[in-house]
Amino acid sequence: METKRGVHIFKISFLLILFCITVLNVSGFSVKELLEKSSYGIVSITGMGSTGVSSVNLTLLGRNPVISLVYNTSIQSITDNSFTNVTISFEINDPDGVDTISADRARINLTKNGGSAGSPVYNYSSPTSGGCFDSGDINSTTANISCSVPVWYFSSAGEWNITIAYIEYNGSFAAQNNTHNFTLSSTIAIFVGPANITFGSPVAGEDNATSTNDPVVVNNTGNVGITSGNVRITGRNLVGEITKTQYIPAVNFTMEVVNSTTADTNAGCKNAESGSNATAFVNNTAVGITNSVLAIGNHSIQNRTSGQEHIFVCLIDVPMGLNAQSYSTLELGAWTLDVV
Amino acid sequence: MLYKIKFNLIAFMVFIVLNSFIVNALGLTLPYNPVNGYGEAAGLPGVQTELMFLLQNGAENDVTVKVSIKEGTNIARISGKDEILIPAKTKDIPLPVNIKVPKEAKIGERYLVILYVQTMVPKASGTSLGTGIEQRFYVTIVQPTPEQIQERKTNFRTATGLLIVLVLIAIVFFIKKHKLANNKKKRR
Repeated sequence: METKRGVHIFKISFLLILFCITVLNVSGFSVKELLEKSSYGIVSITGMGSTGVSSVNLTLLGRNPVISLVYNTSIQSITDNSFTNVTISFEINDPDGVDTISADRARINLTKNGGSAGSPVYNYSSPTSGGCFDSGDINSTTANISCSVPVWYFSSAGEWNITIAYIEYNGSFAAQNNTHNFTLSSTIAIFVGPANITFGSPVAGEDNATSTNDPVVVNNTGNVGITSGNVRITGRNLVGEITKTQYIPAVNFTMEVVNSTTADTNAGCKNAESGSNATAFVNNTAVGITNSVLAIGNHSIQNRTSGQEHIFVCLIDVPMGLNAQSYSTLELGAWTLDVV
Repeated sequence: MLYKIKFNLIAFMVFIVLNSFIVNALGLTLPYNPVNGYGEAAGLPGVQTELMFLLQNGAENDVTVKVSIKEGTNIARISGKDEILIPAKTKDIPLPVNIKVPKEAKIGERYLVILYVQTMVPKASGTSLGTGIEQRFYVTIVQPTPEQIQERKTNFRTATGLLIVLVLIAIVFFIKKHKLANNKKKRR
């Protein structure tokens, strides 16, 4: 009785195995495919013969991680005369486990669409160029990584692309994402110095008394270019500090852009002899300074053109009959150098 | 007397020398990208919006600025104070500009607004030099989008609904109070 039962079980098992083999063959099932689907890291399977399986050798590498989420970075702005650390956070998923993820292997490039000074900017090109750090684990296979990238003030406004990469130990790309952008706002910014112009001690009737502490350095410390004539000066009469009825008219002053280390003692002066491009002041009215251009640029280069201008100031005529006293902006207010 | 004049002269010279090293720095982050020096903003007839500018100061010293609307005062005004302190090394001091488009404004009309930001220079001897930024932008009157029309309708309905509920509560309260007063009278 028991023997008969055993024979039945054996027959049913045999038929089931036969059925399974037939179904798998008909459906084209492949052991290799199954293993490939269940494991990203299989490189090759060897040892499969045409007549039978003698042995199977599997070569396994770590499975590739996936950048699963990039957090919204929205709108950023430059920092006047400095850099903004743009921080990008993203989640990276590694099926081999969160312990295999290292922030050191993350890379970020920011690229201005259409090109710009300061683009592309990397976070790994030098010890001061940002870097990435671990912002905590989300779960057993996913980590949050944050990377900082310095964006300098002369970087153009508009859309910037974010490229995030995660590299293998051998330097090859394991994962990459470049589907996110952020907007860099426009910032108009200037630096003007010195804040007080000195003229020494000119005497009544003197011509072409140049400033003793010029040039006035004007730096573009933002990411908006100032076009020709849009750097303006508003001058005001300099009134005597003791005898207030006496003054030096604003129209007696001129300013000139001289983008060189000039030795000209009349730099900034406008008169018939020099025929310069100096601009005469108009009392209490903004006047565009001829040839004044403040392009976007790194003014640290100090070449007087990259994001920078040197402006010379001149008192072309000290009126006759003025008393010896201080003439200043105390009464009518400071001169203003502005940009449009 | 001579001593006093000498002292004043020395103080004046010291001031001039020290002031020669002081610089002006000023920045303004814009809520738009200007093209050829002009920005663009959109406005709806009869609707009030706010454009948020941000003031920056990259220098080592604090600066106080005076802000004003030089043109376009019929639709634009500064929200809040017109004198603003920008501490050294800051980049996010808000300068909100309120835009109120007249109800009768026509679609396609453009209003020019000129915003002016100027450093305030303390009154002092010598030839002081301040800094300023002028920003020009147009407010173009546009047709409201279907979403904006829907939002307005929803807001109107919500407000009307709220008003009806409040009126009903007031009526119920009034009737109850009236009944209570009547009951008291009857008991007497």
